[in-house]
Amino acid sequence: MRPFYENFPFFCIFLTMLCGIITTLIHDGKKARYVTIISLFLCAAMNATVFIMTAVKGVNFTYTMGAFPAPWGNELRSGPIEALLATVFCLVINFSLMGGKKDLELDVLPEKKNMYYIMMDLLAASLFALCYTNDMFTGYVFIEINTIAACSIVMAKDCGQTIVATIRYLIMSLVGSGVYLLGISILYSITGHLLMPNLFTAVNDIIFDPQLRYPLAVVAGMICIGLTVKSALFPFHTWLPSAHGSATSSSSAVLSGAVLKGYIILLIKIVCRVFTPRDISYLGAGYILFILGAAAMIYGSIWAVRETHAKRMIAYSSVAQIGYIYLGLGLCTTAGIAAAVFQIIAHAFTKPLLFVSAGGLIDASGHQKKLYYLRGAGWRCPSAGIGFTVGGLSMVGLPLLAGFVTKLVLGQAALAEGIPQWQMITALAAIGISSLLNAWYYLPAILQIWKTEDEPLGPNGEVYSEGRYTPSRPFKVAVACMCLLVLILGCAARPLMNILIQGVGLL
Amino acid sequence: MHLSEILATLAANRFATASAILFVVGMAGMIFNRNLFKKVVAMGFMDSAVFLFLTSVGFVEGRLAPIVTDPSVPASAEVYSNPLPAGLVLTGIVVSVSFTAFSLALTMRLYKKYHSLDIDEIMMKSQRNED
Amino acid sequence: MKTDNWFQRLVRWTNGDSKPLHEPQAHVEFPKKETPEAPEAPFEKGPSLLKSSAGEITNFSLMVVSMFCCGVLILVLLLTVAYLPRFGSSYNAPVNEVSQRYVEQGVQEVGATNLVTNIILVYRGFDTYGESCVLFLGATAVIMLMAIDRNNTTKKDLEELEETEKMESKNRNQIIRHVTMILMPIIFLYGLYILCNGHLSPGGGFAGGSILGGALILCETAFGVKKVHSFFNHKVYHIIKVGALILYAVLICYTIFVGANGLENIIPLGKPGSILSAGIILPINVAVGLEVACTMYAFYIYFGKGNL
Repeated sequence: MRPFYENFPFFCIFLTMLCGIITTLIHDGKKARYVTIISLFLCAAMNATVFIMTAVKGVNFTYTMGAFPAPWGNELRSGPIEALLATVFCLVINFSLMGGKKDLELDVLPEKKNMYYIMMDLLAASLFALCYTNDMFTGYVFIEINTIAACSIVMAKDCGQTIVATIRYLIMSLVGSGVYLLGISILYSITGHLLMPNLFTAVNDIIFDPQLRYPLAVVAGMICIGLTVKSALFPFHTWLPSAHGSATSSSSAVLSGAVLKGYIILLIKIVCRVFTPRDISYLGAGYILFILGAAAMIYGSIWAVRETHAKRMIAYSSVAQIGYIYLGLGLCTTAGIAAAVFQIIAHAFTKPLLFVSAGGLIDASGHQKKLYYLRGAGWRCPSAGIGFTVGGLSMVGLPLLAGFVTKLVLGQAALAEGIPQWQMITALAAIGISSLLNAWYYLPAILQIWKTEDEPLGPNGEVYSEGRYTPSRPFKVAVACMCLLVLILGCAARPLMNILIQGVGLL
Repeated sequence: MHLSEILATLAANRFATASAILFVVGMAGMIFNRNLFKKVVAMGFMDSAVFLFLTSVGFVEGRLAPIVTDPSVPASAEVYSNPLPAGLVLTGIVVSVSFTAFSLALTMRLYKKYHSLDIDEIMMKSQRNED
Repeated sequence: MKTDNWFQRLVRWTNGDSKPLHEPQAHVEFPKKETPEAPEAPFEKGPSLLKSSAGEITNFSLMVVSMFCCGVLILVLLLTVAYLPRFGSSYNAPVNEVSQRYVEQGVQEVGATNLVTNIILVYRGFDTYGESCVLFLGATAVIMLMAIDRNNTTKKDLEELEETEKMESKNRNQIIRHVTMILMPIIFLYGLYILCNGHLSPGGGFAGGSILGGALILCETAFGVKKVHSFFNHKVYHIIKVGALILYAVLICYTIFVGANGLENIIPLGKPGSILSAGIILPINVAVGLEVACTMYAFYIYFGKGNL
């Protein structure tokens, strides 16, 4: 008889799925919203319990989905990192739903609101499954659930632009999941397994086999490419700005904060559990991820500098931040992967904070989305202004905020022994240039929203005076919580990093 | 490896060879074709290629389909072929059906709105309508 | 726009007026917004950007690039195939202890003589549950897009729909109706047979459900929406779909929970080969079949009519 808390990952997945299914019958959007938020808080509590239990003992456990163990049945496996990330995703989705409430009411038709929450529920379920799964094919199925739910929450704001963005997103995602599926099919044909622990032994047996090394390298490449396409790494990011920039704010926040990360976690697990980081480096996939990550950091920032549309600017900044994650992952060391996971968590709170606050600011400025019309919006909606400022400064890398720690730990990981010289220089240069560029576009934006001058603001000369706009209470709570979390991540990074390094060892 | 050896293996693995070509054709169609409907068709190509490959992985020369004819006799692994790939293909097919329906619905909505199936044209028109 | 030196620009930047790489565009954009655009004119006249000579060059280079990419990818994959184990050989990696146990002990452990059903519904039941959720999500997404609302339908569309409905009901073909009358019960019976024999023969929930869905679609084409909706309307659809999925979820949850915690499974396996055997497989097949039938019909009806 296993300890009861080991059931929690399975409970979380099925609880959110069941809530999604039952929400079909709830036609009232408000009730559907409560069901979703409450179930997600419950899941957050359960995941946090799993995290505490595993982190304190420093263990991980395997949970057989059914009576049949590893090579025959499905399995979940949880350690500190998986549980922590699942908790983070619950919180992010909840805060995004709370923060984007006003936009949601405006953008989604009332009779279709319950479907939006169905999508959110199943999105959460798929994210948990991606965090916890120990099986490549389960990974594929839940990637597909994630894709369809993510596309649906983009298109929920039913205008031409979002549908165009959705179909571009959908097509790129399908290419990605097709490549991933072919990758695992080939892997199955040369190893005969689908579960990660068995694949690990099989891969170790054949990695130096001259006959099978080439297919194995192709498989590693395909799995990496498939998942990077879905998580919008640099050359495959083209769908991201339109999808994240045009969706309703809570969708944008969830997409950038949680959905992209789900695929990366699966990739990290595959890198650590099916292969070893050393193997990935040996097969050449690690270098590709590293170089693409560095390129994304600079490319995304440059495009963000050129962007005048507030939400698209934040979306391009996501491209750059995803680059940070891959930079850490591409180093193929424990410290590098821990830094990548830290960046996942930091970005998971910072980016939704930015999107949600930008939504508030846009709302306070008569739904004008250009940065230019957001001048002085910070005074009209101070909570959103503060949120945007904290998020932006964290992205720039102000000490005491989460973004700074990311850059620091990534730099440390790049400076560690055993990293080739060129990788170190590239990593440091990319971090430096990207930080400069981040400052270049976030600081003016922040200055702009706190501008006090009185002048016509809207495109037709409307003036939005102070006090005309009052944000809802959930919005304030969500922004405050996320600001606080960004601060905590920035101040209490040391213990968290220790847990993460221990957790990467346990992966 | 010699070219003749490669060709011999390709001929022996004929289903895998066909699926490799089909897969790339489908993927290229999805990425480079501008017509949305053709993109959806190309998606079908890509998925079918993977299913063909998986099915061929499950086949073992001279063994039967994995349905036990006489349950009173214990089944021998020498008689029936590998049942797992068939299960994976089934899962994959259902997933692909839902995605085909979803992308066709999106295409239909876009056609209704912009009277075109060309993704570039649709994108231009939608950008014009922006703000 | 007057040019100014870098210092003035820096001042403007710190004031938040401009972005450093851009001259302040916002001022320039006003007049563009105010002129009401001529809607879609250039596209209908023909000479769009894509069809200009410059566009043709980019098209051509795009074609070359795409051909090159395809060629390289095909070569990479073919080389991979050349290194793969031989087709059909019994020494290949997938013929290992995993498939051995599925074949040799599947009937005793799970109970169905169709070994593929054993795998998808019990050994790897979690995957298949995820898969039926994909189907559920697919249907929900299609409804979200196609269900008639004020975003996607104008009054004219509604009138046209009504018109076609009227036309169809007038001109309903006698032959189709009579043939459907004869075929309908047979198809339903066949669908049910495949659904309920999923653990004994090829078939199961997904196949049987599609046949049932097909029967519903045939019914709709022959007798019209109204006839079908007299027994299969929006409410029934939702109740059947949600009920089936919840039944499935409960069964699979129970199996997983009991199996993972090492408790005793109280669902009897029955005698392998008989219709009432294989524990949870039969009810799951029925649930999946109902869900698939509902989804197929929903796809059809929402694409055509936008309303159930």
